[in-house]
Amino acid sequence: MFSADRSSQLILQPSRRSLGWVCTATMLVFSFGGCSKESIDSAVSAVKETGQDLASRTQDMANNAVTAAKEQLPETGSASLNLDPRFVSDSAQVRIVNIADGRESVLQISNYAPDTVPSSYPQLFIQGNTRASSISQLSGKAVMCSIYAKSDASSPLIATPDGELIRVMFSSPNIEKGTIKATINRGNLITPAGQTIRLNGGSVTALVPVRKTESDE
Amino acid sequence: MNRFQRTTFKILLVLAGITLVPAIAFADPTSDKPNTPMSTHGTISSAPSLCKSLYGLYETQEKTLIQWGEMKVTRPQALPARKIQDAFGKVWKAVRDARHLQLMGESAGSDLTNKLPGVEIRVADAGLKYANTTPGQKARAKALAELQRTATKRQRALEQAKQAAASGNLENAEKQLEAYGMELHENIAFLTLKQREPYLRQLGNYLSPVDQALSRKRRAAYKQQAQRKISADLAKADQFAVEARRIASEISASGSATLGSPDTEGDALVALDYVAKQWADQSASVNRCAALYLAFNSTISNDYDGDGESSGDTESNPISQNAGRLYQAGVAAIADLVSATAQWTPAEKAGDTYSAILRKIAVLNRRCSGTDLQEKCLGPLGRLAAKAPGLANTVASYQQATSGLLYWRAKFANAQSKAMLESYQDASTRMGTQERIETTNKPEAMGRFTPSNRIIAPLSLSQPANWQVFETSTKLVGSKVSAKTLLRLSPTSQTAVSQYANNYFVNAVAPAPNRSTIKQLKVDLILGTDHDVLSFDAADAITAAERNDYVFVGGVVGRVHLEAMTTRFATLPTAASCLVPIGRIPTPGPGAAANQICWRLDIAPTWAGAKYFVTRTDAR
Repeated sequence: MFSADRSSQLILQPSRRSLGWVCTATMLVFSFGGCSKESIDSAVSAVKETGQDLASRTQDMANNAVTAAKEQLPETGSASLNLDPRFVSDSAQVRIVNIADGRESVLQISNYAPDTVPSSYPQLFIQGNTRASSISQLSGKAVMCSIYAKSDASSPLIATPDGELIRVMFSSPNIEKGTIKATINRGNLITPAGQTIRLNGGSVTALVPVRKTESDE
Repeated sequence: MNRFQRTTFKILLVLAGITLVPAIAFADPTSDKPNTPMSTHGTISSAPSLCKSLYGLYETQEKTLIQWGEMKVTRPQALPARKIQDAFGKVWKAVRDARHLQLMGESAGSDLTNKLPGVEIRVADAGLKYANTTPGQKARAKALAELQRTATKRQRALEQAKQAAASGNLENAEKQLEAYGMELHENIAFLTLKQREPYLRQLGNYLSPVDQALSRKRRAAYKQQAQRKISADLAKADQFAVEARRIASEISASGSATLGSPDTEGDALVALDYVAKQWADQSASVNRCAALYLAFNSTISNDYDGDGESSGDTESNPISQNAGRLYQAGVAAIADLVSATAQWTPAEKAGDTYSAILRKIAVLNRRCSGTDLQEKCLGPLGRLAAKAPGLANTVASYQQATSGLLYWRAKFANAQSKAMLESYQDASTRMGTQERIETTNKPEAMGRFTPSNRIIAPLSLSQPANWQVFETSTKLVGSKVSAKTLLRLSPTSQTAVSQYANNYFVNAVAPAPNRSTIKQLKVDLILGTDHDVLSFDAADAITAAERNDYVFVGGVVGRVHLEAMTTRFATLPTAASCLVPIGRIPTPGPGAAANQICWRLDIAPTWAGAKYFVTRTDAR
């Protein structure tokens, strides 16, 4: 089931929430990896077992989920880099791309939808190679990453110099909130003009992508 | 390495940048050897030797005039009378020969036409200066008496030549008139300008119709000769399409094809290299043809019959169509080969083959005028990916894993290049700037030099090339300039060139990316011993790093070469085909193509910007 294991984005946005509790529950379970087909099936059937009019139940659940998401979840994640001035973004998402041909996987954190080109500021992109093949496997692990950041149209794009990757340390994912936190180490970034910018660490709370499941199709 | 060693190493690198650029070098005036003659393409076989002898004569006469320069002022009576007479005749003939050289499509003829009349004027002036002295007066009286005595005989000679011309033997008539003219010039060397005039007019009356008819005849014959060569080469270039189709169909049928000689067989990948090489070779050939077309269809200054048809821009150069056809044929052939590869590659080799093809296409694509190659190969590559289970998915995942980072790498590298470009003036902008030219190598004996505001590196020859290259060098050597593109001639050559544009190109030793850049690229592209690129952009990035191909280069000008634009491309070495993107032909600037200069700047690069990384040689 996970063989292709390519992530595709499904961010928790209002338009997607109406998909219903069944999907949401299933997807959250999915997204943290490590679940067997059986356990997912049982989760789904547990929802089904509540019986009654499934359609109206689902609608209720969806409404509950919306409320819960509004109250508890950082809907878009967040990221900050301790630079002068501080780089702050109120969105961040993470994904792991498995190439599945024996290479390392790739960890990507961005504050815009992956596979798209950012269209507004600030812009943040973090990438590193890892043996972790799912977000849950990142827990407690560090990944050496390239960082690209641009605060606004007039500020320079800053980046890690070649060969000077910065360590990004992940904590355990928060399954309830659908996020994972990471601490960014200190390091140097450079501007295109060659000026070195000191990065005094940073942090990310990244939204974990939710994979499509059969019930989405 | 200690600091001294590092400094020495840097100096050596800079020197290497200046001196190690011989792959497309040949003799032409340069900043350090301005008096080197301009070279010839030699389409007309007698041109090179004629050119050599005319430059030899120019050099000798210039030296002589320098010697005479001071004598003309201080002791004109000591000027060597016989030598003045001799020179007057020889230089008169040389001016005519220079025009002949122009008819032969040689831009060196334009240079000599700029040079020799100046010599002629100064030899004539030496004659006048001598004639104003006591021995000179005697020599003048003697010459006048001799001219009177031989009047009838000379008239007879002129009539004889006229008859030869009338009977259609123009070459013979010219020969007779030139012999007459040389002797006449010797005889009139000490006459006043007014006294010379009737003799020259008389000669002109006989010579002009012969010159007109003969130059038209010669031009037509030379043009025909050039056209034969052009047609033969273009036929070969057109044959490329046929040959490439044959190879693709053989590969398609059996997985291998005969390449070049009958006993050389190769599989699809070998065939792809072979076809790519033929493609580039034929592109160089088409460029040579395009330049020859310009050379033989250009307006010529002093053109007797004014039959020069065009100043030869790309629109009017019909060979741009051949270049376009060659481009399309190559794109189609390579796409067909990739298709054939897809057919014959076993599943277990599909991945490696996929990567190998991407790399080859990436290198080729940078040498093409468009991106059709990449686009046309997409479909066939998809079929290749479909050969191995899971490969298409792996390719898609790889794309996802690398495209984001490559987007940012490209953004950052572009911003880095832009930052560097701020302190490097675009070479063509710099060359087109008007500045006060303060120094010259023009000898005083050849006329007064007045400092004035002039274009640093004009597009056309308007003064002797040896003075022009010197004056241009005073403003360019040592200056920091940038150019677009820097492509290595081959994987084994250190020499790289920028693609020709705006009458110039730069020549440099391509700087290799820093080790950390290559290492980082490999990390970013998730490459390893068993894992190669699986996207076109990734292939573009890694091959650019390995080949040292760049989109920008900046450096310090070490040497300036003045080459004729037509000669540069008419003699374009096959190995230097990347000087013009496949599918294009070199475009001259405004004005007669025969007078166009192709400036070559040897630079020691201090940085070079590729699409996905920037290399700085000063940061090592």
